[in-house]
Amino acid sequence: MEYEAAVKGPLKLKGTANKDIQKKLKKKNKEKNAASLKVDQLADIKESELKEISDPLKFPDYFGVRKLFRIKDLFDARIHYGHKDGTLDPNMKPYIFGSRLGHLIFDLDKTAEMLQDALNFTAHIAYRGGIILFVSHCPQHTLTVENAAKQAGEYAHAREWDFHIFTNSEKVYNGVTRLPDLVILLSTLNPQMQEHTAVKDAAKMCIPTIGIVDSNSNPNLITYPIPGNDDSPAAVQLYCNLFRDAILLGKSKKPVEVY
Amino acid sequence: MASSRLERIGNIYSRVRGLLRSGAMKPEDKPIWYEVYEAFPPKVEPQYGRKASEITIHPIFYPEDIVRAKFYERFGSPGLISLANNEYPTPCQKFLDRYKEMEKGFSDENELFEAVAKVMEEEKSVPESVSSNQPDNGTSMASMFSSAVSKSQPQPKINVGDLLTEK
Repeated sequence: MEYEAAVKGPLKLKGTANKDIQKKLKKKNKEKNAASLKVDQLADIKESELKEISDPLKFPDYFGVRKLFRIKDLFDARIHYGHKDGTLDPNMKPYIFGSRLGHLIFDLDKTAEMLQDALNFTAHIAYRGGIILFVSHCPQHTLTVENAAKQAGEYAHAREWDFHIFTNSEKVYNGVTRLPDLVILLSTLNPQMQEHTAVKDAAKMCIPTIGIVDSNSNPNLITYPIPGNDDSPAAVQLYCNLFRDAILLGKSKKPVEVY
Repeated sequence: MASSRLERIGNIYSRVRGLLRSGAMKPEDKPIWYEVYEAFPPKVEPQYGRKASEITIHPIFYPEDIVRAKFYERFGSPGLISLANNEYPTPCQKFLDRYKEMEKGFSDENELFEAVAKVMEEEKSVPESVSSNQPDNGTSMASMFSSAVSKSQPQPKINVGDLLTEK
């Protein structure tokens, strides 16, 4: 089952993955320092090589996630549609453009900005070899979410959430587990219209979350909330495509592993 | 290895930073996302008990809405409208386009509306005017109710005793 694979990674202790990356970064820094000492050889190094040995975190958009979408794409996918006035969560007020005869409309400028931040974060996590878990409990969108995760080479949990799979994972899976490094929520509500357990549990386990928050959801616990419609299939398809593309972009620039 | 599960206190970054500073978490155990979060922090820091801002949600209205309201009052709804189809304009949209074209010639809104209505009716681009038909065909609740009352036949008196005796 995919949700088992989601948390039960290769039998590694939590710190090991970081150690691998630390080793890679040390190697890169050695190369960088060696290059900087030999001034006359700098000219020989190609621009592409220079970029590879510098730190992706220093670029505002290293993976080019801004090119993945335009505001018109958000509009066509009906991301600006919220629910009605009565179901508005007060914490969502800053992201609402206005109310058209009772129907709330999201401010797509703000949504676009927050979506760019989220996609950038996703790409960086994928670049660093993080495990990404797509979570959704809407039965309508299960297939979309699972396909996107498969295409991205990451994991999905689009079924009923088992309690304790984050907070008590080692008992549930009978072994050492590696929890995801990023949780992407395509909907922060479960079918009972309550906050999805993954939101609270990821916050408990210090896992950053990216979540699509509709007008009836609470964005406070989510690290990178994205205000927008989470109910239309077209909207969910767009989000899945964007996150999948961001992950693939991050992985495409992954440094070649040298042992 | 230490961890902090208090989701309502601070946020994940502040808690992990605290663990690292105090030495409870070793630098090699630093999570993958820590440096990425430091480089690209979210615009609004996640906080459980953050108070909602006191912003009033404004209704969205356009100047054309007045014309739209008059149009629907006069002509009623055309029935099915496909919201996904952007190619063909709805009767209301066509009306609005013509309204804008003819706006310069008139100073009074009502006169302009009547003029445009006349033109569109002649071209048969709009459905038949609702007000020109009999009151029975009105689409409002009140008119439908009154027409139902007038149409309804008096209910036959049922004698339960008769029903039971007759077989």
